[in-house]
This record gives sequence, structure tokens and C-alpha cells, in this order.
Amino acid sequence: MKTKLIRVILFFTVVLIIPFFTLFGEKEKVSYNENKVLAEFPEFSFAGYKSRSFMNGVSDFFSDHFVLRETFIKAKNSIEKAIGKTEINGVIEINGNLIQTFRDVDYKLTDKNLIALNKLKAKNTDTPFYFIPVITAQEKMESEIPSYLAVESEKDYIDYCFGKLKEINSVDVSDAIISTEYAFYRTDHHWTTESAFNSYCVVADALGFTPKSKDFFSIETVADDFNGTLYSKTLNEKIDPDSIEFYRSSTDFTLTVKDETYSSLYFKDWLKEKDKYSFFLNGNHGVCRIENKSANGKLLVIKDSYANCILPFLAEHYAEITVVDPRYCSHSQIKDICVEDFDAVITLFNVSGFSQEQNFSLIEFMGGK
Amino acid sequence: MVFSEPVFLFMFLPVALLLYYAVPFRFKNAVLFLTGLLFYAWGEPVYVLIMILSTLIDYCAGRVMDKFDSNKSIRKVALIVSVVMNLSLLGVFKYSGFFVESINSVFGNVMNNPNLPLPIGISFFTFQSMSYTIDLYRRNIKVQKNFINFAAFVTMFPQIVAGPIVLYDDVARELENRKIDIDSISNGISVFICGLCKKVLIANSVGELWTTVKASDYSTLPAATAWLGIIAFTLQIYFDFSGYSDMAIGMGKMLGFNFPKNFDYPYISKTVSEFWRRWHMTLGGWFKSYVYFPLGGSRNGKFRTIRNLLIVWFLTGMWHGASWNFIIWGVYYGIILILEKFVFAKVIDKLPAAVTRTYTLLMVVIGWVIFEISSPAAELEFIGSMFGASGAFFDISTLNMLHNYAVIIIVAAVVASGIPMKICKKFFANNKLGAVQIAGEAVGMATCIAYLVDASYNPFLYFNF
Repeated sequence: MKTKLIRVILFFTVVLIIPFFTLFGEKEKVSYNENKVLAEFPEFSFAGYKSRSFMNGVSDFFSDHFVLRETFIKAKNSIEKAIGKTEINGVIEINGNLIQTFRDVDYKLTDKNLIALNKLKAKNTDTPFYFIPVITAQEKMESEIPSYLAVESEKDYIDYCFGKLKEINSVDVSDAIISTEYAFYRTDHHWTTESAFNSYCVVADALGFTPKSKDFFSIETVADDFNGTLYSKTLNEKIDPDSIEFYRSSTDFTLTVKDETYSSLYFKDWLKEKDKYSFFLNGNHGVCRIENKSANGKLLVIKDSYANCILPFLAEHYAEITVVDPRYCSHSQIKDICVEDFDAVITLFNVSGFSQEQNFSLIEFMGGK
Repeated sequence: MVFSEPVFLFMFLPVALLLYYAVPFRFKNAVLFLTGLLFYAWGEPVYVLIMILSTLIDYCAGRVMDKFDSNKSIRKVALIVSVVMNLSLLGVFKYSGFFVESINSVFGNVMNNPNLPLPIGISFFTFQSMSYTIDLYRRNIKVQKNFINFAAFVTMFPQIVAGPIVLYDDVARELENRKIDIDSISNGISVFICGLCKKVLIANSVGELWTTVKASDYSTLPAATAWLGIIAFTLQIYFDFSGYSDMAIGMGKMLGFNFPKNFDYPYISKTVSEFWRRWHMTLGGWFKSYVYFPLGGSRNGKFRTIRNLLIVWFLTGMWHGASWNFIIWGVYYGIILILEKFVFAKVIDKLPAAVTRTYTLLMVVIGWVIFEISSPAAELEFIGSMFGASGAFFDISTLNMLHNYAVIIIVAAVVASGIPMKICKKFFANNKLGAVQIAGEAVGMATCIAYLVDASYNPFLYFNF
């Protein structure tokens, strides 16, 4: 009888205490790990009742503010790991690094993207094009990834892409990255500044200019508590936070986004936030322009966020770089960009992002002949 | 609202239970009725009206039958009104789309599909309230004059959306008078947590594996992957459904009701007919007493028996869903049961248990392929792959699946065998290990919460990419 009473008391304590703290406890407004504003309690209305949006709203509110939410999620992830589910939200842990898996590639989408790039090149035969796919951490760790995970080879994917290019120069920076020791963040899917620098030297060779040497920059560590996107996906606290390196240069740059002009390519305010990678170029912009009065020539870069930390190096060599991020721009923003005006066009994406990029073919709308 | 969702577990359930315990006995059925309505309306804000309508008509039919107790034809009319109304609701909301599509596929597009969304639980609550009018007509039960009591029977939240199919007769006495004490509440909590764990920890996990396999191309599916996938589904549907029944039975106990058992370790059955005596028992019971027996059951010779079995299994298949594959699935079982009854009965008796269990499981697993894959062509292709038609036995992704799911599949299979429960019962029978059991339940509940909370965690894939 006593155990029965204990069970009843325990059960009711749990089902009462959880809603109490969930409803009346202190609430966060934003979830940084999910990059979203948490739901507020919905207002009741008959229309909302009829369409169920009220009920869904209550559900979202309750889930979003669930007491000790992240603690429960961490517990769940530990249990999953213990029973053999090593992959959480597409992320695996290898020797203290979180790695995003690359598999189930949609080659039709890749073909579509490459055809779009070939078409743009075909319209602008005089301008040299360079295609620079960047490997992700999986390729660097390839030998350590268990074969049962059945990941695809990024190297094979890059070769596949190179094989489809027409009149476009392929630049392979894989070796430069693999030989970099701290090439990728442990907790984020991006490459480190050092990887970007080493790749920049390879890109410089391809484009025919001499890269600045490392001594040209003063290298500082500007953050050592970076928990990036892969941390957000796994909430794995056993991985050491990352540090972010800043290659400071004495060159004067300006960055123009829409009507705003900034006098630096680096934004220290972001280092205090969760999204520290936005330190580079203030994050992603549909179209932006980097200017350097001490150099000559014009470069067009079609890119994803991987480019954000290599662009400052390239900017040392061009008077003007126009940067187009097809994921964030619209037709009207790019239709006036005339490819002929540039000395070279670079396409730089990480392979995982490129293989999933739905908006890439938008670049066909750029002006040319 | 489903039982395994935070809003139910941590808002609806505690409020409903506390309110229910707080009011004096004579108001408890009213609380059941109102919370049941709220529960149903949460999932079906508009269709809740259909449920109220159905409840009202069955209640009135009962009163009419009672009032004209000696007038046979009025009693008959009342029964017919109730049955026709319930079956029409089912017909219109569940089967009209299927009917129209079937006609159109034969005669060209001659009708418009009304595309009515299916009201949650309609197959359950119509069957439940029909049991009341039919049994009343047969004079098996007494009339329920109190509308609130009758409405509480139809709408009470534990069983309204997914069974067990509680007959009025099952709870008639408890509706008037029932014991609610620490003992029943405590037992109810145990059964409820057990059901929650079955659903959240096992069914949802193995379900992920089946989702992956189901989405693949069957023509190239390696045999081992096909088997792994359909075994995962076999476990998923059992743990999902029986877990849901356990939660309902457990909450019933917390409210003072004893609902009938719905599952009794079906996968250890030695014949397919035994399987159906252990699987969704309340549905089998319903068809037996309201369709099979009235048709004459097995009393009128071989031919009539076969006809009756085929009718029952055609309807059982159809009850599971408005689609041809469910009907094929039902008839598939009808044929197996006829064969077992008239052809192989003696053979099966002589075979060792290991053989008959394997045979039964094999039939059931193939049944699930028919049940779960809706196009017959794809079903055949899938079954082909299970037996090597794709030419491959094993590949790297099979290995990945094994790595991820072997533990959970083994645990699920062991639990489904019923052995752990037997051992537990032996241990906990003397109550000395009660603390261990409570600790186990606490861990189970906490783990369920962790899994439920995680289901809402959606790290945005594209930020900062």
C-alpha cells in the first residue's frame, strides 16, 4: 500500500510540477541554437479555434518553453548514443570533432546548378571563370569515419563536378585544407581562417597573382568560446569550444551592403553573440561590394558562407569585389550585374551546400552579352 | 490531441484528473463528458458536432426502445435508425472518397470526390455507441436514462480516439458506481507509464527505421534491409497500438473503470486464428458478437461458415481503412483462417511450437506488407525483395541500420515475447520489490519526457550556412 501511495504522489508531482514551471517559470524569448523566436501563448479566437491554429499555438508554446528543455534533449542524445545511434540530426562525433555527414546526394540538382554556371559562362566567353568547391570536415576525417555510416566521398563529388564544367577552370583546394591542422571548427560546419588562408594561396596561383605571405597579417585569436551550428544540432558539450582567428591586415577596405557602407570586413560585435562566424563580413548578404583603393581589377564572387572568411584575403588584390550569394538574393538585385565588366568570376561553395543548393540557377539572370 | 504529446500529458491530463477527483461522485460523469468533449474538440474543433449528434441519436434510440418496450416494430425502427445513422456517418466520412474513386476508376471520372477529412476516432466511437443500441435491442443490457452517464460512456477521453472498443455492457455498472482509490489509481499509473514507454521509446524509434526503408526503391532493396524494415514495422504497429491501448486502460483505471484487455502478446501465437484472438481483441469481439454470430457463425455447415468468415474479414479489413489494400489484407486473413479451420487444423496440431510460431509470424509479417504498402504492385515487389528478387542480400546501408537499430529491435522483440513481463510479475508479486518497480517507472517516464521534448527540437538547418 505504501509503495502505491508513493507512486501516486510521485506521478502527480511530475505532471503538476512540469506544467507549473513551464507556464510560470522565467521564459527565454529566443532559442539561439534553433535560431528562432520562441512561440508566445496564442490568443484565443473562434477563427483560431476552428482552424486549429489556437491549439497548435498552445502546443508550440508548451514545447518551446518546456522546463529544462535542453537538459532533456541532451539526455535523449546520450541515450541514443549508448544504444548505437551515433548520428544526431545528421551529425557524427569523430575524435572530438562534430562532423556533418555528406550522403544521399541529389545529382540532378547538382547537374542543374552546373548547367546554370556553364550557361552563364557561355554568354560571357571572354571572362575567365573559376569553380572552387570546398571540402567539409568529413573529407579531412575520411579515414576515421566508420564505413557503416555509408558516407559519400566528397573528392568523388568534386571530380564529378569538374567533369561537368565547360570552359570553366577548376580549382582544387582540397590538399591545402587537408594539410592544415586545425582546418575545420570542431563545433561548426565552416572551415577555419587558416584553411581559408591556405586555400587562398592556391586560388591566387590559379588566378595568376602572388598571394600575401602569412607575415603580412598579424594573427589574433578573437574568440575561444565558439559553439557553432553543429553544437546546436547535437548540444554535445563534450566537444571543446572553438577559437576564431583573425588575420589582421593594414589595408583599408570598405564593405557596402545595400546603402550601408562599413570601413571593415570584420564585425567584432558578433563575437559576443552565439553566431560568431558572422564576425566575417557581418554574415551573409544577397549582394555586397568590397572595395580596396590600393589595388586594381574587378572580381565577381558567387558564393555561400564558406567564402566569408576567404574574401578578405582576395580583397587584398582587387579594387572591387562584387559578392553574390544566390541563397539570399532576388532576381531584381542581380539583373544589373554585368558579368563582362569583371576580370574574373569565382564560384566558391562548400560541397555539401552546393549539392543541396536550390537557388543557384538564379545566377543565370545576371546580365552579360 | 494524442496521449503522447506534452500538452496532453502536462496540461490536459493533470487538470482533468484533479477536477475529476475534486468533485463529488454524482458530478464525476459530467466531468468525464465535458473533459471528453474538450479533448475531442481539441483535435476536431468542428467534427465534435458529429460526435455529439451521434451520441444524442443513440441516447434517444435507447429511450424510445425503453418507452415502447412491448412494441416490437417501434423497437426495431429505433435500432435501425441508430445503426443506419452510425454506419452512414462512417460511410460518408470514411468511405465516400474511396467509393467515388473506385467508381471513377471503372467508369471514368463520373463523380467528384468530396474529399472529406476523416474525423478522429470515428471508427471507434460509432462502434462503441452501436454496441449500446444493439445490446439494448437484444435485451442484454438496461437502458441508460441519464444522458450525462451515456454521454460520459461515449466521450470519455481515454478510449475515444483509438480504443479499446469498450462495449456499453463492459462499463454499464461502473458508470453508476465505481471505486476510485489509491489502489486503482496506482495500478492505472503503472499501466499508463508502461503504455507511454511502449509508444514513445519503442514504437517511435523502430518507426524511424521503417520510414527509411519504406521510402526506398523496392526493386533494388537488399533482402536483409527489406526484412529489417518490415520487422521494424511489425514491432512499431504492435507497440504503437498496444501502447496506446495500455495508456487508455491505465487512465481508465485512474478514473475507476476497468476497460477490457486489447492485446495479449499476439506475436507468440501458434496459429493465425490465435493471433487474432490476441490482437486488437476488442475489435475481434465486436465483429464476432455483432456480425459473425448474427450471420449464423459456424453453426450452419461448412459453406455458410466460410461465407460468414469471408464477410467478417472483408469488413474487418475495410474497418482499418478506406483503401483496397486493407480489404485485400482482411480477405487474406479470412482465407488463412478458413484454411486453418478446414484444411490444416490437424497438421498444425501435430507440428512443434517452434514451427507453428514461425509460420504464424511469417503470415503476420506478410500481412503487414499488404497492410502498410498501399499499391499491390509495390507490395509484390517488396515481398520479392524479401526473398531475394533484387539480387542483393546486404549492403552498407543495411549495416548502418543494424548499427543504429539492432539494440532497440532486440529489446522490442524480447518485450513482445512477453517473457520480461512474466519475470517482473514473479518478482513484484510479493510487493517487496515495489521500490524497484517505482524506480523503473520513474526512469521510463523521465526518458519518455526527454524523447517527447526532443521531438520539438528543430535546429534550423540553414542558418549561417
